[in-house]
Formats: sequence, structure tokens, C-alpha cells
Amino acid sequence: MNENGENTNNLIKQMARLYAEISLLLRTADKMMLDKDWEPAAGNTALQGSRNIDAPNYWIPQDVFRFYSNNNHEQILAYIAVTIFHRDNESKLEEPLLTCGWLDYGNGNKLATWDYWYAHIHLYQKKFEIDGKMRPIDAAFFEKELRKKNIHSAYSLAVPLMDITGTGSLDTKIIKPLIAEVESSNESNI
Amino acid sequence: MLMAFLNGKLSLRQTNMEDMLTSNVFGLMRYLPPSKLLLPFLALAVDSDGRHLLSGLDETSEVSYDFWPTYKEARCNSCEPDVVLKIDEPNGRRIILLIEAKYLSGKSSEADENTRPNDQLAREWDNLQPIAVREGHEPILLYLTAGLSFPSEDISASQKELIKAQKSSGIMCWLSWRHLYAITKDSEHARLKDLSCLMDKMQLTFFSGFSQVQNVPPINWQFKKNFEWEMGNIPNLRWSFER
Repeated sequence: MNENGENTNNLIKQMARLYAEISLLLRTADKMMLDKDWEPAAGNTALQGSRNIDAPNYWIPQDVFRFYSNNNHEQILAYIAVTIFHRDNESKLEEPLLTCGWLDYGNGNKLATWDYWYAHIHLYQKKFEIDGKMRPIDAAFFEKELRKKNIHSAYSLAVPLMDITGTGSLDTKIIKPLIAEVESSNESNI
Repeated sequence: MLMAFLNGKLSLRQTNMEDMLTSNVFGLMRYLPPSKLLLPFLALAVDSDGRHLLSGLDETSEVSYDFWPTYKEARCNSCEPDVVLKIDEPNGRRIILLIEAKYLSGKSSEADENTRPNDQLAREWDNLQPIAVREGHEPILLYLTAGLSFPSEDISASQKELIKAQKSSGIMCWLSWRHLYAITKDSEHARLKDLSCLMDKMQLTFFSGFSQVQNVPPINWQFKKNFEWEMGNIPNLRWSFER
């Protein structure tokens, strides 16, 4: 076999394996969120991209995401996502991330529509930290892109994907902080 | 069959993959002492309250296997569970464990308007109960799926139909094929290693971190952008339309 062909085959196999593991990670996250009454808000959808022959940069998904809603927090759209690469700025992202956060549509409002790109709002944080701490979205970006979508506030955190080594670290680094921060934020709004 | 799958001779698209999985796993268990695989596996089964109904079974228990038996008890709709185990413990406890195994599909039938249960699990429990009474066994139904968590909707729909038909619920617990990987992955036993490979290949594992990425050398291949069609000389056309 041609050496380049063999290397390509190996690369694709590894990518397929990575996607399978990301799927398992996010399905595990779904289950953990469901245990806390957060239901998937977009069914089984986890990707967006393009099938257009002229858009190969969009053939590979930038992120794999899950959005969640909760009847007790009707104005909140939470998300957990794996950001695989940064389509617009490769050098900004040195490794894949696991991010989570939420968008608040304001007291008394319910979720209507949303865009899948919200799953990588962490990439637009001006101070781009990958330290597991939840922060409000950069004010300038918020005013420019999210305010017009009737979003009142948005938060995100990120950790290196490879730091998630099992359900234990998924719970302590993502699920628990996400739920605790959403709930405390929601209480302070009441 | 196990070797055929591990060596890529069968595909995941095989229509009867559920039966193949059942055959591979329980066929293998049958030839091993119960303490090696069967009992540690069953010990992980949970009911809707999270109780482990099949933990602590005696390692010297005698186990018999019956694959795809057909049951048609009086006034019951017939059923064909995947495996039925009879477990006799030395202390006298006797269990009849009906296993309904799923891989990608859901239950084969749902509740209907008839008086006898029609939902697949309810129908199986309906048949299992009189058999257990007749033979002096304690009946338990095990729903074995590829899921990551307890299938509350499936089980509660079955229990609802049983309560409607019989005024009592069944003893049902759940287990995932994925638990097998955790039990077998560190085993030195060749057959258990093969089983672990099968579960890994079928992606029947729980999340336990990411695999080590192998270094892929640069791929020196590029599609040439400029086409060079070799069409040779094209003779002049000697045709014109006369006005």
C-alpha cells in the first residue's frame, strides 16, 4: 500500500474513534443533565456544518454540542460542547476544549429560537481562559452579537478536553459547576 | 462467530446483530465458571430504585441456559425471550431469570387495548410468573440494553400495563452491555480479552477518557490544481451554415 494512503487511512480511523468518544462523552453528559431535570433542547442534533462542495472548511464540524432546557428555569438555555478547532483563528486554540455555559433570556421569557453557534461563545471571550471558571461573555461581543437576539446575559467556561478522563471529571469540572452557577444566577435574578 | 466479528468478517449492519451479540456473550458465559463473568455481570443489574437484585449470588451456584425459548402460558400472549437462566444457589434460593436483550432496537411490541399484556416486557413477565410458580423459582426479568442509563420510560410503560392487567407490577431490572467492557478489559483470560475487544469494537463502553492519539506522519499528497488534458491536435472544422 502507498505510504501516504496508509497514513491517511490511519488519520481517518483516529478521527472516527475521536468522534465516537466525543459522542459517548456527550451522551453521558445528557444523562447526567437529565438526572438534574435538564432535558436536551434540540433532540439528537449535535453538529452543524456544510455539504456544499465549495465549503470544505465547513465539512468538519468545529464543535459538537448539546443544548438543554429545564421547566424550572424557562428563560435559560444551557449547553455543553466539545470545541474541536477554531475555524476562524487556528492559532487561538491549541487543543480541543470542553465548554459549557448558558444564555439567559430574562425573567418571564421563554426560549424561542437560538443558533447553534452559541455552543462556542467561549471562543469570543476577550480574555480567553481555559481554567474551568465560569465568566460572563465579553461585554463588547455580547452587545454586538447577543443583545439583538433578546439574550439578557451569557456565561461560559472551558477546560482542555483531554482533562476529562471519565464520568468523575465530567461531573466535577462541567456538570456540577454549570448547574450550580445557573441556579445561583437564577436565584439572584428573582 | 466472535472471531468472525473481531476479524472484520461481519459488519455492524448485520440485521441480526442483536442475536449475534446475545449468542457471543451468553454462549461464552455458558462455558466459563459463573464466577468468571456471569455473576459479576448480573451483580451490576439495577431495578428502578437502584437496588442490585442479583448481587451476592453464590459463586458455586448451578446455572442452566436456555436460548430463545418460546413461552405460551394459558391466557397469555406468547413470547420468545433471548435467554432464560435458572440459577440454583446452594442455600436453596432458586431464580429464574428471563433476559430480554436489545442492541439498537427498542421493545418489539407496545401496550394495546386487549386485556392480556401485549407490551413485550409485560408479556414476558406475564408468561414467566406461572412458570416460576410451577417450578418453585423466584422470577426476575432482566432488560439488557446498549443504553447508558436506566430505561425508565420502557420499564414504566411495561409496569403500567401489568398493573392494568394484573393489578401488580413485575420484578424488573436493567443492565447494559456496556458493563461487560469494564468487567473484562483488564482480564488475563484469553476469552474474556476477546469479549472485551468485541465490546470495544461495537462501541459498547462507558466513557472513560480519550484514547491515546498516534502520531500520524505528514501526508505528502496534493491534488494538482491545473488539469492538463492531452487532447492532441484538433483539425479545423470545415463546416458553415449557409444563410
